[in-house]
Amino acid sequence: MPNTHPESASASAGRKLHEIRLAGRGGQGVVTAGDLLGKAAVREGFWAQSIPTFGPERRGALSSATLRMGPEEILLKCSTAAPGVLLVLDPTIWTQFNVTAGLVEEAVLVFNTTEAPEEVEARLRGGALPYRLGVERCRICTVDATGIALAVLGRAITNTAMMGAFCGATGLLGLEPVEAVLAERFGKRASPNIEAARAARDAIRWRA
Amino acid sequence: MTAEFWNGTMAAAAAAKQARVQVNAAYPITPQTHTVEYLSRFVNDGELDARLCKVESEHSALSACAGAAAVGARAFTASCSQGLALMSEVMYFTSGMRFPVVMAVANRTLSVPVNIWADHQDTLVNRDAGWIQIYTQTVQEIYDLILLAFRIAEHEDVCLPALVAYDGFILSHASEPVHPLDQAAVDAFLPPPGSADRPLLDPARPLQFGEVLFPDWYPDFELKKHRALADSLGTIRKAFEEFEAASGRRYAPVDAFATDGAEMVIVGLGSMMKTARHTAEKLREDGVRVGTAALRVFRPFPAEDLLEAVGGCRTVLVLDRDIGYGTGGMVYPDVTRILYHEDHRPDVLNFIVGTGGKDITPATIERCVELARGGYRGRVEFWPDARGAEEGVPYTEEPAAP
Repeated sequence: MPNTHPESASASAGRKLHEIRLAGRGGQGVVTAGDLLGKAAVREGFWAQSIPTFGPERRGALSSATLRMGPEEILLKCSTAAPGVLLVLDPTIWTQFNVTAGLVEEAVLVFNTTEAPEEVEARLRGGALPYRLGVERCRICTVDATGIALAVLGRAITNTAMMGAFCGATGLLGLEPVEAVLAERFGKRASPNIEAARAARDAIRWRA
Repeated sequence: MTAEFWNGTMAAAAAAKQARVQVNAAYPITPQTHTVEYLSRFVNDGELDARLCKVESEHSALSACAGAAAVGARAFTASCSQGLALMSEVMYFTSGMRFPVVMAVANRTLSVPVNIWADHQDTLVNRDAGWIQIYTQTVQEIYDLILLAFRIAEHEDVCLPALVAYDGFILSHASEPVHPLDQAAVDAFLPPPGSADRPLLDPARPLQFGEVLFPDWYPDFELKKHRALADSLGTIRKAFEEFEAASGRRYAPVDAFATDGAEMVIVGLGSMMKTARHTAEKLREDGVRVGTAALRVFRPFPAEDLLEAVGGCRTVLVLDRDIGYGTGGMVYPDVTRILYHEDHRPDVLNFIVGTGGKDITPATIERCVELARGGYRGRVEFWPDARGAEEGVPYTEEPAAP
C-alpha cells in the first residue's frame, strides 16, 4: 500500500496548481522524470507542464526541472520559485546545493537516501550545509531509491523509482498512470522500471 | 481525445509534418536541433514524404528552401541565434523574390558572451527582412501558428516568407498539453502543397527572379514589397478565422487580456507575456488594474489592434526581451510611433528584461509594475533584472531556482 502522509495533498489534488521541483545529477534522468510525470498527470486529466532548467549539461553536475500540474491551463513560463514538492533524486546533491530555495511552508520533501527523515532534517537545519532549510512546517520523507534501482535495474538511475516515491509521498498521482507512461516510454524494458516505481512508493519513511 | 504532451521542438516538427512539407533543409543549432531530428525520423519512418537536404550552413539551408519554393514546393526550415544571423542575407532575398518559405525559430540570444538561452535578439535584428514574424506564447501556439504560417505565407495575396518564433528552452524544451488537428482537418485547412497560384521557376515558362533594378524604379518595388507585408494583415485575420472554424481555437494579431479600463497595459513578445498575464490576474485581485497585450503578429505591425488594446490607459509598459544597443528596446519604437499621433497619449515606459534567458518570473513582472506605478521616470529604458542599472533604484536579488 502507498505510504501516503496523512496530511498529503490528495484531497485537494485536482483543485489547485501544484509546483514541483526535481533535483539530481546529470545522467539520473531528472528531466525525463519531470516529463513522464507530466505525461502521467495529463492522462489523469490535469493540465501539466514540465520545464527543465538547462545549462551546460555534464554527467554528474546539478540538474533540475520544474513540473506543474493543475486543473486549468498554466500561464507561468518560468522555473518554479516556490515549489510545494521537492523531489531529490541524488543522495548527496542537496549537501552541495540549496535545492530547497523558495519552498513553501508545508512543502513535501522526498529524498533519495538511506538516512532516516529525522537525520536528513537535522542536517538541513544543523548549519553544516552551505544553507539552512528555510521552512518550519514542511514534511520530510526518505526512500532508498538508489538501493532499489541497483537491485531492480542493476544501475543507479533513480528517476523511475523516484516517480513511484512521488506518487506515494504526495498522493497527487496514482501509480497506474505512471505505469502506463513507463510502459509507453520503455517498451520491453518497462517492467523493471515499473517494479522500481512500485517498490519505492511502498518504501517511503516519514519523520516520526 | 487525450492531449499529446509535447515539447516545443516536437510541436514545430509535428506541424511541419502535418503540413506535408516537401523540402526541409536546416543546420543544427541549440535549442532548435530536435525539430530537424524529429523531421528526419518522420521521413525515415515513412510518415513524411519530404526531401531532407543536408547542408553545410544555415546560409545554404535557407538558400535550398528558397530554391525549393521557387519551383513551387512547400519548404520549411528551422534556426536561431548565430545560425539565423548567418541566414540573414538570404532572408532578404527570400522575401524580395516572394518565396513563401516557413521557418521555426527557437529564439536564442546572439553571442558573445556565449549564451544558449532565450531572448528575442536573433529575430528582432531581422525584423526588417521583409518576413512575416509571429511570436508564440505556449507549445500549443507553436503547433497552431506554424500551420497558420503556411496558410498565410502561401496565400496568393501574400506570397511572403513567414517565421514563427518560440522562446528557446522555455518553450522549446518545455512539455505542455497539445491538441493536434487530425490529418484530414489539416488537409482541409491547407491547400495541397505545390498548388499555389504564383510565378514559379519553370523551364517551359521562363521567368527571372531577383533581377537588378536601377534607382529610377527601385522605390516602386520597395513600396510594393512594403505594402505586400503591411496588407498581409488582412489575410492573417482571415486565416485566423478559418483556423478557428477548423480547430475551435481563436487567435488575433494582438492577444489582449483585461485591457478594458486598465490603468496600465504591458506590451511585449513571446512566452513572458503569459507570465505577465498570470501576474496581472493576481494584481487585479489586489485592485491594481493591469492588462496585457502580447504582440502575436509583430510583422506586419498590428497597429490598430494594439491601439484598441491600449486605448485609454495611463501607462503602457513595453517589456523588451532584447536590446537595440545604443538606443533601447526594439519593440518600444514601434509602440511609441503609433501612440505619438493619438490625441490621448499615455506614458510609454521601456523595461529591458530576461535577456540571455534570465528567468522572467511573476516577481520580475510585479517589480516592473511596481516601478512603473511608483512614478519611475528615469532613463527611457530601464533594466530591472540587471545589477547596477541606475543609481537609487536597487537591484532586487530574487531567489534563483537551482
